[in-house]
Amino acid sequence: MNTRNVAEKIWDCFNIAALAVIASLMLLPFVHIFAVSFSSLEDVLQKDFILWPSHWTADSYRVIFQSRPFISSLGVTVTITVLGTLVSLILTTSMAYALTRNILGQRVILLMIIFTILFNAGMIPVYLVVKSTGLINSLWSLIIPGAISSFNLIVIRQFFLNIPGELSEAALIDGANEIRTFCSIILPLSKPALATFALFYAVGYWNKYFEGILYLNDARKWPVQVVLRQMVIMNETTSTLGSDVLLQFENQPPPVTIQMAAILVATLPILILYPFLQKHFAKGVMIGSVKG
Amino acid sequence: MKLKRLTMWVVVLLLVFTTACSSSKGQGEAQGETTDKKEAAASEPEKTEEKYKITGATYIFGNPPPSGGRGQQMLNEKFNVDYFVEKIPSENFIEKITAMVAGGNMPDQISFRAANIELFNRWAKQQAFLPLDDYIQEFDYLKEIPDELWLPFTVDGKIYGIPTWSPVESQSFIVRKDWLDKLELSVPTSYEELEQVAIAFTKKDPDGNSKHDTYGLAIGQDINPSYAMGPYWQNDTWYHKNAEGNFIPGMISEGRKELIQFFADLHKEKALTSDFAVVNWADTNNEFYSSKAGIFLIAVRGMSQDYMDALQKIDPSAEFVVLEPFAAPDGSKGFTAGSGYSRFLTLNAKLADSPDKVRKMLEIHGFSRQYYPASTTTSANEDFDWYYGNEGVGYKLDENNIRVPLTEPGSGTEPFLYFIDSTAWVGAEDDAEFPLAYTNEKLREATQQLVDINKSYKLYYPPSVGIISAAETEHGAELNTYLINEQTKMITGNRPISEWDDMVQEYLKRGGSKIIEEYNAVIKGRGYTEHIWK
Repeated sequence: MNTRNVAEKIWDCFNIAALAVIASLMLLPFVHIFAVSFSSLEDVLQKDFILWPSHWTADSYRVIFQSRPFISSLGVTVTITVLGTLVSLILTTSMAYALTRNILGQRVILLMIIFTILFNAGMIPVYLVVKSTGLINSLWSLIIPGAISSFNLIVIRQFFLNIPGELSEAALIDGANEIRTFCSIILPLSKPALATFALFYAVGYWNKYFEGILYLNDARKWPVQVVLRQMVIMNETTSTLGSDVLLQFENQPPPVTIQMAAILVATLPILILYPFLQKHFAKGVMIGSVKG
Repeated sequence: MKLKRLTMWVVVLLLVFTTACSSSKGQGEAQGETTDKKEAAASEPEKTEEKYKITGATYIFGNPPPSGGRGQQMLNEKFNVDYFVEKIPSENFIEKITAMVAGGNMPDQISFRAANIELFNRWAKQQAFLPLDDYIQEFDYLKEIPDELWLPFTVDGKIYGIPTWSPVESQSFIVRKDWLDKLELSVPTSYEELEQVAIAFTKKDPDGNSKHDTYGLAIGQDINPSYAMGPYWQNDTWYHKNAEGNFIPGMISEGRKELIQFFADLHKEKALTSDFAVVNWADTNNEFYSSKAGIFLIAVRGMSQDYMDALQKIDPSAEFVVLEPFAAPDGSKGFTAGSGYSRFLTLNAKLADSPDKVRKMLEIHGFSRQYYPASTTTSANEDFDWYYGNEGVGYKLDENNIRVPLTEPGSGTEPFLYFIDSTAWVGAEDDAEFPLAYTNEKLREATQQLVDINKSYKLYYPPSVGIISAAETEHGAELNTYLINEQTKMITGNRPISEWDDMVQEYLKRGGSKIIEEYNAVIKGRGYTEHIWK
């Protein structure tokens, strides 16, 4: 017995150590970004890899927070993330619920949804739709065209199907209509699912990039990822096109320290969301995977 | 129950309402041109000068100024227009502009990148752009553009694009002078000497810190920078001829082969960036500016002052010398001229019906290209003062009479930020004053050296500028990747350089010969036979 315990303990120690190493490997890039953002450019150039600034300086952050485009774009991103997540959740859950009911054409609608998972229209046709619905240059163009993710919809529908039918039947007998059943019975029972998909959607909206460039003509409405990329990207352009591009620069990219600070400021808010939703999350990602 | 239902409806209605609101706004902006035209047409009798709405699109590195800023308002007032240029992130410029044009939203003017010449050509053939030939005679600033620069923008005999100035001055390479002095070496004038210098930088501890932490050439992926000390060795120009007397691309030339041999020798000695095949451009820069590598690229403009400042803090004794071109085996000595243009402006073909609007647009374009040499600028120069947002608000002049911006571009204070093209046209007689772009003394000195070198040698004008080859459009990128990969292998010793001819044959077989054929057809058409040095 004792020996097994010892063996188990050794195994545990080994296990914890191995997992700790893997976890710290995941953390390393973040620590590096953090350290570079608080270092001076000379230090960054001289050392190959920085884990802790040798001379602390917040200069990069001063530049970032004085940069009007960056701050206003953060505001835009927060707006579309909050609003978009709300719209997406309302539309996805209500549609998923409707599709659990025996309504006419339910199968056809489901097939159409699955069709969009497999095939998509392509950039220009979608642009034309957005244009003809008058969404060009409106923040709604980042929200409405992708408000419902087909995959999320199907998973949520599956989750709703797993809720015993007797519950909604009982509500029906008590005089509740479908909307009431949906709001008072189904949604409260689906909190883990809602938390999970809220997170999925929120991260999706936070990272909106290409739509921002394509549909928004006014740079004041750009989401933070576009502004961030514009701050960071210029170094990469030169590497793919060669030194010739050097001659074309009208303005130089900010130094790497400022880039790292910008990355950190743009990532941190959404990162903070994770721990709060984590308890639901672990439960939530399994939803719909096993039926019955 | 009713309450719930009510809230649901409120939410739905709210959504529909806000969408409708934004939709009408978006529509207005997107199609403002047509409605404006109607309005303008209706009110024409009363007005002496029509107020035009001018839309435009171009690419941008970095972030654009906010729309409606002070500079924008000043622009609109000065020219009595409603002027807006959308600045699209350069990485996605083509995607967005294609979507806009496909969606029927082509703006009045588009300023393309030099690299978009192929797309330009295609659209010009489809008559998307306005022919400019007649207007060129009307405007002095257009007459000033030399004939050869119209060539790339001439499609089927008509001119559709206006080039923006870019220096013809060549780049060169910069060497750590303090390291040369320490090791008592002279400035290299040939590849043999450059090789010795690079190896000495690697093995003889030029910074004297008794550590083995320096080396010769900073070089990164795609074998960039090229370290071509003349067109004879240059990869991206057409200089050599094959047995039939046709021009061939530098990538498969004898000069390039010599250069690859030179790199391979240095690689063996660890005298160039060791893992160069996977080092990106930013990190290649870091190798030099962190005082590890002693040799790197320098151009007449676009150098990073932040990085140069950092290098001087790391090693305050850093001094620099710029290399002069090397004498090539064929007796030539000099660098290759730049293309002379960077971006170019096109106008929408639909403007054919409104010549007055076109004149207005060209008037604004011409204004934004005025050149103000630092030696002559004062705030008393009205155009200059206005263009940069007035002294004390948008800029101040320092003791050397150099303009120092007082606000960051994000505040949108200066009018120049809002033009579709704010690059001044530096005429043949003007001095471009490259060194004055920097405040860093060392960077100024080095730039001055490069400018002087450019003045003391003739520049090679390649025959290939502005040629569009269908075969190149189709296979060019793939073939270039192939050559870069094989040549990288040769440098690292994974493929013997003795197989050079096999590589060239493979290139020719996979479409290279077609490219050469198409280029030479145009080159012969232009009557270009001997190398042109000016």
